[in-house]
Amino acid sequence: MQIIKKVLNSSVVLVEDERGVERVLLGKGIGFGQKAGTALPSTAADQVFVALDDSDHRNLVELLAQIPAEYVELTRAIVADAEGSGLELDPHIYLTLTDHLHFAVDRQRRGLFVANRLAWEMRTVYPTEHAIGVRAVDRLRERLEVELPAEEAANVAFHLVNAEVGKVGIDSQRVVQLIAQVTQIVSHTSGVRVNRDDLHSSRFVAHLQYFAERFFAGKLLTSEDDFLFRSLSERYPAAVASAERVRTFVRHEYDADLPNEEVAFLALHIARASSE
Amino acid sequence: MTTTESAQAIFDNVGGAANISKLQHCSTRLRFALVDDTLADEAALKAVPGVIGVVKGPQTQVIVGSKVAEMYTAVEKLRTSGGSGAAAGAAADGSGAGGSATTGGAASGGPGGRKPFSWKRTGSVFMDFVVSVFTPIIPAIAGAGIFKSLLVLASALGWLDPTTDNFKLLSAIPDAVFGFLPLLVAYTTAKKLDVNRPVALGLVGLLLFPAFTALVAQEGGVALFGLTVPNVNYNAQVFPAIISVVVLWGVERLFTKITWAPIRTFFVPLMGFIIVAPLMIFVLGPLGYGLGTLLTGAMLGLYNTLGWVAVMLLAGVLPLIISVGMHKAFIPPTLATVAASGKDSFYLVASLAHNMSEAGSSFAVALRTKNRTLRATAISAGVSALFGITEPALYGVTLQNRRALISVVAGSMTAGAYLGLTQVSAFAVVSPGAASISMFIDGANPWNFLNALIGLVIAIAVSFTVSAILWRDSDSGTVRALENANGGRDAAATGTSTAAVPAASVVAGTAAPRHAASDAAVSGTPSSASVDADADAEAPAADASAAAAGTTMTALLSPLTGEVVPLDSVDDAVFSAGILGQGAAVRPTDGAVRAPLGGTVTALMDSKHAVGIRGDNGVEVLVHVGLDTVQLEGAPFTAHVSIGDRVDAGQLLVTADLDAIRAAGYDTITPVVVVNSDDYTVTVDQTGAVQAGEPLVSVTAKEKENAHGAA
Repeated sequence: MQIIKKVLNSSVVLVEDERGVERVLLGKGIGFGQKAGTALPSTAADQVFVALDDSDHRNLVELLAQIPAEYVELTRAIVADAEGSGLELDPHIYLTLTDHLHFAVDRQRRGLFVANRLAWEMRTVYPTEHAIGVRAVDRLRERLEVELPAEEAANVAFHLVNAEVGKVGIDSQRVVQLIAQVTQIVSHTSGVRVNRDDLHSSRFVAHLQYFAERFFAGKLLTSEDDFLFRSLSERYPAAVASAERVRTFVRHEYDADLPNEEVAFLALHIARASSE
Repeated sequence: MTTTESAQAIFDNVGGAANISKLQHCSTRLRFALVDDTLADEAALKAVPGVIGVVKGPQTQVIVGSKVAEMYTAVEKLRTSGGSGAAAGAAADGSGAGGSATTGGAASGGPGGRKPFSWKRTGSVFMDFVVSVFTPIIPAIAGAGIFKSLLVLASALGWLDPTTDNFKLLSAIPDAVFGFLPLLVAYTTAKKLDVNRPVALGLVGLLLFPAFTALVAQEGGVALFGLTVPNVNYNAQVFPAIISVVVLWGVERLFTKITWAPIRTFFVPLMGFIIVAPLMIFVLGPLGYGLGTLLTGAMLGLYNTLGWVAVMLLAGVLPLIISVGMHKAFIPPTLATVAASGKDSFYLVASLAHNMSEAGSSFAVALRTKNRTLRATAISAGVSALFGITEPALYGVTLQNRRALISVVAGSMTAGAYLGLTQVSAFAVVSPGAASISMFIDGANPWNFLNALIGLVIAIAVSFTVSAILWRDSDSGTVRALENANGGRDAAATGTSTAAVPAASVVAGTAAPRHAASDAAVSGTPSSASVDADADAEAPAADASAAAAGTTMTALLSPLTGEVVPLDSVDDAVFSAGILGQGAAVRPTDGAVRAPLGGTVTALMDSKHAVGIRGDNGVEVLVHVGLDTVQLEGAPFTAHVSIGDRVDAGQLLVTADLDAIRAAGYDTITPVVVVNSDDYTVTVDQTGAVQAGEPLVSVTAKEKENAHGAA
């Protein structure tokens, strides 16, 4: 049995169960006419529970209280779309995406334009999420009559990636930032041309994506001997030189050392992508 | 300012590592959970280049736009520095909350969440409360005040006769606002505390209700169950109302919790009235009245003891006080003073001196600076200050530049002294400025207004003169920041040297820089600096025999016209670290991109934003127009060559639409680097303005043994 602790708006309430565990409950009209202290009427099928497990989520809940209900509804529609595309999302997305969309509209109204410099990489690395983001921007335009710039799709995609179960703990923005930086280094120091629609370069980008995710998860590949690294240094010196620049960069910017195995794999992909 | 420098500024202004208990980010904002929110300097954060805005709340959020990932990395580095290599990469991110868009660094410093009691925190909670209660009523007070002062003016000029009904009726309009001041603050206090507004208004309304006031004021007073009700005139008092609403808040919360739901609607307010109203008329009201008298008395006492010195000193420190937001603390006592005695001779008068000084100083800066952006800023800031809004001038001009600040203080103190000596008073609570100047009209004393005007003129004259004399673009923080961060617009406004000093321009005999820096000495250019603007800088580059004996030296010509910027100042992590080679960058004023040397085009991205050329002697050069411009997918670029083409030095390669690039939100700065610089010694020969086709960088082949020397 859930008791309503606080009505945040007509679509969002804060509830507490008999053990005192607080959660956020989302549902269309669920808060309408309700008061704090009453028991929650029956749980409908389309309602969502979001657990509150740390102070940051509590802060987001506080923020949510100030956001109009229509943003919550919009988020629910976007999440439904995402789940329809096969993504499994952590329920916290309801908090973060709602906050983001509200803020984006607010920024738009205040004329604070923000160029998203990783939009291209987002499109390439996370195309499914990006497509959902594009549809989200359309939905927002229909429902709220606000025209957000097309780049906002990439921002929505960021949030979706971060919420994906299985990608928990991944900071997609930093991942994409690193991919962009490595792409820049590689494209100017080797023959690799990274085009969005090219099959060959998409394999290269996929490698970068996994590399970046490994990097931030602290799970870089190592090996007992440096066989691969030494072989490649002999066979493909140019590719290895290019990969070495990446190593230097990572040392400089992220204060981290890449194992030879990772440099080797990178060089291998560079060699492959530049000869095609 | 580069991302790293901005990150440092942000890091410092939120209170440093000790104050950050959690750092996260979302797609456009850095989100700080701080141990002590008040240590975050909002104004300073906003002034950091790259910060678009600041939002305070449960978290302190710094809006930085699309560079958020880089900023986050940089700030995270600062937080965890002290050296472990694990820093930004690896495990730290694994602790991020599942699914949240904001994955963060581990909490550091202080127990997560619970904030220790401190006087500072109590003080800031109190200040926050005060500000929330008083700031919203200012428009009403200011508007009514000016209205009143205009009526006084009309009467002084003889247009309106104060004894007529016309005048009395018109006067009633602003007087109503002051009379009902208790209700106004009751409303804002109730809003701040989330108390039922109508109940709060109804409660406080008792104090002004004719039936009540008549009873209290009657002969012999009135008693409630034997206790005499204090006869206090609550007209225009603010503190009784505030205190009463605070108590009401407590009563409301208590009873909302314990009251049976079905009767809550009427029972809670009933309890509010039953409990708080008597308290109010016996205790809280007189208490508030006493507090108001005390505050007013203190202000007046200060003024009376120190006299004109008080005004002068306050005027002098106002810039500092405003920059930390503490000027809002003056509003309640000033308001109370004006409500009680009709005038204020301290804070508002000092403000007049200060506001006008900001204006005078800004105008002088606009006159003397050669930086176009600063000039535009200073002019509009000066006009704003003239009309009583000083934030643009403070944050945009004077707080960042010592010399301007000195002139403001000088002007303020001089005018403040004059205004204090002549005992000028203000009769309306509004920010003094050209449009609100009628606030100094005193029906009884025409000299008040005239002295105010004289004070105004003194402030402007002194601050303008001092600022005009002292100003130096070279000693200006703003100019330096603008020239590092802003676009080519400023490049034309040269003659002032930027922080750009050529890195190790050791090679003697290379072409003399076109402009010898006017003020700051440009160290490291031993060659005779010919200031002749027409010097054909093609000059002796090729003859530079001082270079390593006998080895070939290639001069790379600047591909663009604009301003030279050192590579390590470029706001791109890859270029500034020299990963793609040594060289320099040009901030262009013109979009024609020309070949830096003769050779073959080896690379031309589909997006046409970058061109690679291999020179006949093996030097590989990359020209990358703008940062991150690959995102634009070629739209603002037109290519005139193709891969494989043979080109001559100076040949047009690409035309870039600089305006379009900037409009899309991208930086136009163009790195020019020697990709295989491991094999060469690369020196930058130019600083300041450069034309396309002039030598920019010298490239000398290293002896084979040195081929692996650090580039």
